[in-house]
Amino acid sequence: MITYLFLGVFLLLFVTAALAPLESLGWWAGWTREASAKEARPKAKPSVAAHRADEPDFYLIYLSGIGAISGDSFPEEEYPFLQGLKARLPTAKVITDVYPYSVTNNGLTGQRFFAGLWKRIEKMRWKNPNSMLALFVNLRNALQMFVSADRRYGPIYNLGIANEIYRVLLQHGYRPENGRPIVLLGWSGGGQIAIGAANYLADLPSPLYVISLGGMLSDDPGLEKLTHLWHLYGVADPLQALGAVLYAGRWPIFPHSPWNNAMAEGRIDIICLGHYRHNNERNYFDMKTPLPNDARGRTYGEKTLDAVVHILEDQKLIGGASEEEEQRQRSAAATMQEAPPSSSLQTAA
Amino acid sequence: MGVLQDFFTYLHHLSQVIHYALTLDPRLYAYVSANPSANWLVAGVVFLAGASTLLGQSVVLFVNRVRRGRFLFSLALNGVMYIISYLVWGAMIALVGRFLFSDPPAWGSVIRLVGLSTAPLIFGFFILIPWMGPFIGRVLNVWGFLILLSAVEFGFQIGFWQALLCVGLGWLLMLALHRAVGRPIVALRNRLWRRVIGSSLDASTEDLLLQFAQKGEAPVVLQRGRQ
Repeated sequence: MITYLFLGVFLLLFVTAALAPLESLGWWAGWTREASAKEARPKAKPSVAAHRADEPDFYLIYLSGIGAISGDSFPEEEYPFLQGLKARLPTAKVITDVYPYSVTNNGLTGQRFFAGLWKRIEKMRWKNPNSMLALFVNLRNALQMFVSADRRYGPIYNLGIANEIYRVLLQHGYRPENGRPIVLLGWSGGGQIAIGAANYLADLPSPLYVISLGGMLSDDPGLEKLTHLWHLYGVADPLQALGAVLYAGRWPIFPHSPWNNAMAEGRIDIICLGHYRHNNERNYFDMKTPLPNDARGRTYGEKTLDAVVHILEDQKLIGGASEEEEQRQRSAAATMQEAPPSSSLQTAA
Repeated sequence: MGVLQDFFTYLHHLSQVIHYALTLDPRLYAYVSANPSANWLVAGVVFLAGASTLLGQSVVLFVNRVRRGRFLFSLALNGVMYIISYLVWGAMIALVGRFLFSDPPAWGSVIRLVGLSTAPLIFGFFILIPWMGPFIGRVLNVWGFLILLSAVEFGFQIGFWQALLCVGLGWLLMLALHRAVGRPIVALRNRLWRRVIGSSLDASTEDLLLQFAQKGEAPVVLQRGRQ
């Protein structure tokens, strides 16, 4: 009996995994309802800002991890980080409404057959963030991340995501002719999807940067095209380390893979943040737990935020703000405390 | 009513044949090699294997924006093509066996046994699984090869190494046949696929996307980027 149960679960998992690419493939083939909704959608109208010369200095698009339910429903812990990010980047446009696990930016609670089920899970997760049912969201989205990394499906999946990012950029006032830099900040699975979408977004006349936060990255062909990738990781985060194991193109024995080429060209920086974990306490977004032995008394999340801001400063995307200005930004964020660090980053080869 | 009952009986027997083939059960080989009535059962196995394998590799159909009806037709077409290619493959092995071994079984018997080796490919749709799908495909092929060896061992009543030699020589003969008279057949097959899905089955996703980028129907970012 137990054997049959085990076999049944195993088979169900396999069938679910086999069905995972069909959403994006069906979109491309014009099979799905989402596809027709997409066609019917009016062309993105540039916002008022697009008609003015005061376009933001750059655009930062946040691609959430595999726990995201839609473009506006992330795990609770990510919100203070995003608020902090917006407060620290006043000259940038921080965009958070791209759902990277659907080629049509259709969240799980959107127009879907199982939308009702996902809505229930979403409610449950608000009550109890550690609910076991929330794991279904992670499983579903993790499979989409693997679709993005798969050379057979990646070109289609990543095209859909890039197309949605481009559409959302236009909605937020992006004007290609101005060539304002684009930064994709991908957390966990969002990191992989960011480098996948880079394959198409890099053809826009803007410098394209990717910051991966604990991302499980493959040797995606998008790496050949993006301007620079920073991979931030914690030593206690085994999930991000899996990328280097699962994808043969990241092994040193394939020196001409997109990953190893980009490494050789110095377009990838791997930055260790310290003893960070992927989930639970001491994760990249943890704004409660203080770092041990940190002179400025920052939390884990604050250090992550500082690291992202430091990278952007280093690229001259944001000007060196004065102490007073920084103080003002911090009070606005309410969660932030300290000045950006310059020495806390350790860059590995 | 009787037809429906016959159909369900057929499905029941088919599932049993698949089960026994997957476990390399020699009792199945004895039944299949001795009964010409098993032709339809073996044809069913090969057809399902062909359709499922194409489903596993169906990305090319999707990239070509094949409509649902044509998609299903493609799967069925691949099933029929599998039946034809396994008929030829079985005949090659039977031919080699006739030269190598005394007291060979009938042609039909060998062809049916060879057809059983496609049973694992009924799980070919698992090739769809992202990341690990291609690995699963290889496992299924190895599994099928092991069934083929054991079926040939049984059919000709020979040992493992002799079966390996027979299958190896049969494969070389297939290659030679392909070189000699296969080109027009392959060209015909490719023309057929082109009519059904719009490209050959071995076109890469990137190439096909590039083709679409030059048309007005591609997503904006693709048209813009590939200009």
